[in-house]
Amino acid sequence: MAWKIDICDDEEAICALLCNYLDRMQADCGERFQIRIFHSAEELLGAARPDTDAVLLDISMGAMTGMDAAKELRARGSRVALVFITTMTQYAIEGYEVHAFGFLRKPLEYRVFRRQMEDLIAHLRRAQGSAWEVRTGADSRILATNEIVCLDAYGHSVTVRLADGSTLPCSATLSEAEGQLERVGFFRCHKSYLVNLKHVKQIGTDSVTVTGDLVIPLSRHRRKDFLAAFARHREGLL
Amino acid sequence: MNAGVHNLLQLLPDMLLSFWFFRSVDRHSRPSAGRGAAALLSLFALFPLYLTGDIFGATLPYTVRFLWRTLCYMAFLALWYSLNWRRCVYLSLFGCACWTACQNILFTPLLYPIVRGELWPSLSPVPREVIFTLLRMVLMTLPLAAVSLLVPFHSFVDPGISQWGVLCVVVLCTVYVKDTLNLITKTPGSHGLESSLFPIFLQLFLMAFLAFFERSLASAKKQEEIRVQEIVNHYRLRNMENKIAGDTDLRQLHHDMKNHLLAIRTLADKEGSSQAVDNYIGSLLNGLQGYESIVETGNSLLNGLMAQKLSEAKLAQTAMDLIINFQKIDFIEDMDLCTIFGNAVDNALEACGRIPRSQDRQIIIRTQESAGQLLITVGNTYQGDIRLTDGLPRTSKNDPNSHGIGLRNISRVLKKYDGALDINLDQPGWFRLIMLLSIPQ
Repeated sequence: MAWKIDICDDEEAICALLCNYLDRMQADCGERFQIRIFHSAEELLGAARPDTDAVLLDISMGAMTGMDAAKELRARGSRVALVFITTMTQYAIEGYEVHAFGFLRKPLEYRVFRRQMEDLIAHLRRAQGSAWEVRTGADSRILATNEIVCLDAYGHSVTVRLADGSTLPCSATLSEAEGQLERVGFFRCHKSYLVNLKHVKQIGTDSVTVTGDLVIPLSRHRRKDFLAAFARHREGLL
Repeated sequence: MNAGVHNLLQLLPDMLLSFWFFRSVDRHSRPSAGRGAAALLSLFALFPLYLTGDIFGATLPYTVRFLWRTLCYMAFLALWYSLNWRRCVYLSLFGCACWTACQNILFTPLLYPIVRGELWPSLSPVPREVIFTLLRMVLMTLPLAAVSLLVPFHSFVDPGISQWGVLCVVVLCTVYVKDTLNLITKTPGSHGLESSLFPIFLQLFLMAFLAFFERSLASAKKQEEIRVQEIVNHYRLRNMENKIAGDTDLRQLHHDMKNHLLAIRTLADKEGSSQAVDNYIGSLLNGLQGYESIVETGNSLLNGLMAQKLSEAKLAQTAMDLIINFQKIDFIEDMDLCTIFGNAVDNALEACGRIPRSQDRQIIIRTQESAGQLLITVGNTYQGDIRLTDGLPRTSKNDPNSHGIGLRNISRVLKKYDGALDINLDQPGWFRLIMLLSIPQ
């Protein structure tokens, strides 16, 4: 699958350079990109589509700046990853307010660019989730991991709880599920619970609230590791 | 006089003295009536020590008596002052050590017969008991009061390992002296003056040592607080200076704008002017960068700190970007903020400093709030190997004494805010330190 990237810069040379770098990355890392180029913020906003993965956005452009465009995108509810192209400055609160993913500095260096993009792709991939095959007795079903809120074990039966409120029985043990799901952002916060960090809404001292306002216990001795896993997972998420 | 009244006569001053001894310990709120009553009851629980009818109680071993008193004090401190268990154990051992040391003084062959009234056998039993019980309490009170007044209980924090060490030595010493005195004093026959003076001075010196040790710790802590406050003030001042400089720049620019525009028009009128205009605008834009480097994070201390670090980064030719919002974050103490950001950014700058090509040096600092937690990420490029020991990178500094101090300080602060730390090396050449703090509800 190709990543949908929009580039928005009023300098033709920068756009060409970015395209060139993305092409080089396609060759170097096997990532595929579908690129659209815009030369003004207005043009970008006019052609905005919901499935764009990331926008590389110049800050200083004609009438409407990149930061204005970013604010507008966020106001429209877009969750696209934003990377700003800038000459030097840092935008502490402004960058925070539009949930900037990062900054690319001119003059653009391929190595720096590639590192940022790899970071971005890792983040996009995490946000995308993956598929997990769950055995439910004789049957099996493919679930999107993003849809799974948590798994809990009661006695010998394991239940999968989904974001829409439904539940599924699961014939794998919690430890088996943990082995398969750990690398996609699940954490065993209690001996009977495996939680999807993506769905964590609130962390208390001894409990975690997840999507659907479900409160699940958090073991004291697992708390520190849980927090570290949570921090690692959330870092970069928009 | 019956035994009950006699014992009560001894217990009451003991309770009062114990209560008074700890009076300056810091307490966050008044205990509830129930808690207060329970606390007083736990002091009353000292009474088994008087059941023998002798304050030197021969029936119970000294170690048991010592432990019993420690337990009573612990319960009292926990209930009355709501201290955590570490402080309770430490302070009650501290109190017991002083108490025992004072008793030891009375227990010397010189004072023992006097405080028991044995030198005045002609006195009738009742006034004798009253007079000598009071005399004993007065003699006990003097050194205890001196210790209690000297020790800064109000600034007492969780004891460190060396404090525990010193206290244990003193405890062992007092209990040992008591045991020895028991042998000496109860042996009939006359004893030289030295066999009394030596333990008396030993006990007084021990108590003085303990008191001054605590005082010196407290003053070191105070010094450290002052030092940190100075750092905090420095960054605050720095922020203010930056703001003033920025405002001056802006006013200057506004003032000069007309002249600049006139100059550009003049340049544009000439033949082949585009290069000249371009140069002129370029120099103007460069001048603007000063204003842009003012950091706004929503927290004046952090603004100053970041302005300082940004100028350090600029000197070191390292690109540093900030995505920080501290407008609603006010639960972190100033010195902790300095510890977290100061150390994390210093480490990042240091790692970048070892990269030969300046284009490869990059730092990004980002904060975000999620699930009631504040996440602070400091990412930086690095070159070479990073080896982790216990989840923390081994220092690459030549000085082994500064080994991981920065990260350890950060960990200590994060612990205070119920937080955690993660180091991520998933991406080659990119070091990411993620710090998490729980936002109080």
